[in-house]
Amino acid sequence: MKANRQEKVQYLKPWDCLSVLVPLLVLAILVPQSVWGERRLPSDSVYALSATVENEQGETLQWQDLRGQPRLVSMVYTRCRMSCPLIIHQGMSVQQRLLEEGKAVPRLLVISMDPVHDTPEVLAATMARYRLSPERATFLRPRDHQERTLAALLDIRFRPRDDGGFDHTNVWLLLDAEGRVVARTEKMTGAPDPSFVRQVEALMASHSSQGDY
Amino acid sequence: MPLLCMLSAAVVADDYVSLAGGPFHSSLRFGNGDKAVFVAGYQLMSRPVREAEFLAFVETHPQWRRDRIPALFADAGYLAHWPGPLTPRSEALDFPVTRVSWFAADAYCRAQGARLPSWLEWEFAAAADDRQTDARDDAHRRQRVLTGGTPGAYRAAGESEPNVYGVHDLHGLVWEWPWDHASLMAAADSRNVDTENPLRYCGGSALAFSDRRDYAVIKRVALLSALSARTTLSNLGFRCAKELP
Repeated sequence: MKANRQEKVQYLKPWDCLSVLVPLLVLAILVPQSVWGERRLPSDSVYALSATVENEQGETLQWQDLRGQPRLVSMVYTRCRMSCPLIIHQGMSVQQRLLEEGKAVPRLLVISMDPVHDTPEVLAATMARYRLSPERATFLRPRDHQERTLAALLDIRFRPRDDGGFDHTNVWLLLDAEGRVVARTEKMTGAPDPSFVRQVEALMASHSSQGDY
Repeated sequence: MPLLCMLSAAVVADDYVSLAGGPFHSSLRFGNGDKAVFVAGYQLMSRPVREAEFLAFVETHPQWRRDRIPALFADAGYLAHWPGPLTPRSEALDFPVTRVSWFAADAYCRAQGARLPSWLEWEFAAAADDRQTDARDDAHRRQRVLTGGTPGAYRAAGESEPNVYGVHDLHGLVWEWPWDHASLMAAADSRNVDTENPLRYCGGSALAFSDRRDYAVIKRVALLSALSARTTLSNLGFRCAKELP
């Protein structure tokens, strides 16, 4: 009787975990490659962040979905009357410069720091005002209060003012297809910063030669 | 069940207190002259997040382990004081967690369905002492808070008396990440923030403070706003906040 009873009482031993842990480990190694079929993100990729964003067409995307092509990235708010139009125009003139030279052009990725006001409708209207097509630009608003997380990743600072506006960094970043920051320019007036344009050109050239558009 | 094998037993429950909010004179100027700002009601953790609590987070969110975290989210000091990636010193489990980046603190609070408090929310709670909601005119207290610094960074939390809201250790233990640390020091009248200016730390912007006697706050703001979101420090931790129920 006693011996029987002792048999029933089983203590969890460390190696009992193995039967579950080993398949889990195997899965953890296999799943990313089989399901996503992609290479691991480099450790300095901004796409390591899990965040939800919404584009100007009202589609909800994961931030990681933007991976795969080089992009020019900036943050603005659409009620801005002074520096934000300058920022957008500067991004467009970088594109224009490349077009004139017959080069490949990266999309603009314009992220709002004012997601409450910058609804998809407002973002779409802003794009229309600048005559920007979806082939040329994507406008996004972060969801779940993640505008600060994205700004921190991109090293962009902003601060709400009591008049509803923001003080903010004026900058364009060049991200490669894997989400690494390749270049940065804070020149927002006049002709585009030549060294920045050269870096965009070089990245686009190496990207299209890889042929993984 | 088997997953339990990996979880540590010591998980301290988060404990929030409610603050009703109200008009508040911040020592920081928010481009509104010296007018009071209105702080909406919120809940705040009564103590900073402990090592044991952060360990439980890291165990369930392994992308935040120090040996897996992408370099963009934390510098090399991240949890560097732990003997192993999942092993804080056992005698320190009840200490406030430090050496965590803003990204990690933000992710921890999100995982609890909470968020980091804004600077205003932190300052609102920290203005109180054990008798009044705004004790900042008390010169003795001001001196104490200033010279106190963060000597408690290496000792267990919860030694200080709670303030009138029931919040512990806002002063004298560790410094804490606010959600909006990156936007504290912009001069009120500047349209652009100069991201490259090292003077952001060394002082330049005392003009952005409405009460220059409040050195303890000025010191804290100067430090916090100079940090990048990946910075980790041995005396910098955090606590979470959330909306009123």
